[in-house]
Amino acid sequence: MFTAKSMLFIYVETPLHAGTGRGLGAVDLPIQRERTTGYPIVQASGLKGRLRAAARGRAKDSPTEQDQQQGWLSTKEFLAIFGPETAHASDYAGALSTGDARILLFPVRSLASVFAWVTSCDALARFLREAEMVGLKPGWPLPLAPGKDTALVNGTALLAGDSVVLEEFSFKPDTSQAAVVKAIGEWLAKNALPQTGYDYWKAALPTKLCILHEEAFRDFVLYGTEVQTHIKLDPDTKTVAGKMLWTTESLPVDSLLYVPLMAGPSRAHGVDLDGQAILQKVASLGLTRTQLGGDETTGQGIVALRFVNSNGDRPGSAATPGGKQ
Amino acid sequence: MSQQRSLEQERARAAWGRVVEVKGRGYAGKYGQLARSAPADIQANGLGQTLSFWNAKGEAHHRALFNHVSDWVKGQIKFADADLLQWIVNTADTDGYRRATAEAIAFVIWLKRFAEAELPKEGD
Repeated sequence: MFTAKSMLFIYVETPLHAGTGRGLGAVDLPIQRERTTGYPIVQASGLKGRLRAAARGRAKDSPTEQDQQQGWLSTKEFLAIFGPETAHASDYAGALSTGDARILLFPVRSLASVFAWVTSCDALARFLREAEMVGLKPGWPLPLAPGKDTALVNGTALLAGDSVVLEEFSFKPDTSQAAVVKAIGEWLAKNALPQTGYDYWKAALPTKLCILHEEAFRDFVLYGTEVQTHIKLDPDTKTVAGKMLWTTESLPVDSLLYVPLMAGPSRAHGVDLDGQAILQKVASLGLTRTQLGGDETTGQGIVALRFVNSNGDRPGSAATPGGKQ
Repeated sequence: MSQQRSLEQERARAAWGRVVEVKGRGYAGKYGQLARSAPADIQANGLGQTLSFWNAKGEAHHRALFNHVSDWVKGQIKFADADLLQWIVNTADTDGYRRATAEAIAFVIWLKRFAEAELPKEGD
């Protein structure tokens, strides 16, 4: 039983390849996607494993009080939160539950303003649904869906002449719902982007936000991902060795994903933490960045994390509801 | 589901026919190599750019692949222009162009699959 919930936002800082192994499609090594929509996801198990690995580095057998204030866990607490080590997996379940990470904003090359963050009513509605599940109240309405060739924008930043040109596709700008687009952009800038070092992006988000028809959005997340070609060279001839020429797909830099986090009370003997305390411990670990997905040693998959509770604050932070962060 | 399935089967059948047709030609190996990289090329560079590139290169295998993709997509999205590239440049709206891209990728994935199985590899 989950007694506490919060949301984790994931901002992609270097290309993220959360892969599926082999693909038979356009790309040899495709990324994880939802079966029905084709939207990119990062599966919960990979995400939880990564949080676990990061938290392990912040756990020790007997942390001092000062350690605990700085976000260190005791080993027992660590195991209570994330579950026992594999050899003892059947003793009890971990208290923390992560969902799949879903896409909310997808960056697309733009003729004006370099790139745009695109989303759709479909993606926004899913986000609102999961936000409600974790008790987060964004407070903006879902806009009316734009037409197939139309882009809802706020202002003129994305206009090249009379149109919004994304990749090689041209859309008619529609500012009739500019107030809603602005509200969504400002809310995401304030609540979803990483807390420090993102001032420029927070200011830019409302103007670079663009809401597309769901089919246009779907096609961008299907065909607008980064495709990298890799080869292995034969050291003698400096030509491609055997069949060692392949392509990998990644989520581009500046994608924004979200994950519902839920927790119940500790099930581990001798560790007395309720769900709220569990989420607070996880959010207080100081994990502002971590690495997800493949190709870690070539710098891929660095993501910035932001934990947000139903007040829009970090779980367990002292601020009052609606208070300043 | 059944409609979706039959469309995939049609793509597969058409692609098979094209690959078999190429098989005996002198450019079969080069065609196979080009077809194998085609889906990723379209995804990475866009349909228009990829078609222009094949058109500009203009060797037999480029021309064959250009025509195969152009003919297939033309059959799916009815248009009056002479070929797919002309349609993209002159006529297509954004929605149509996106549909053509999706259709072209779906088709060249089959070409790639059959080319891998049937056509000689360069350097073999």
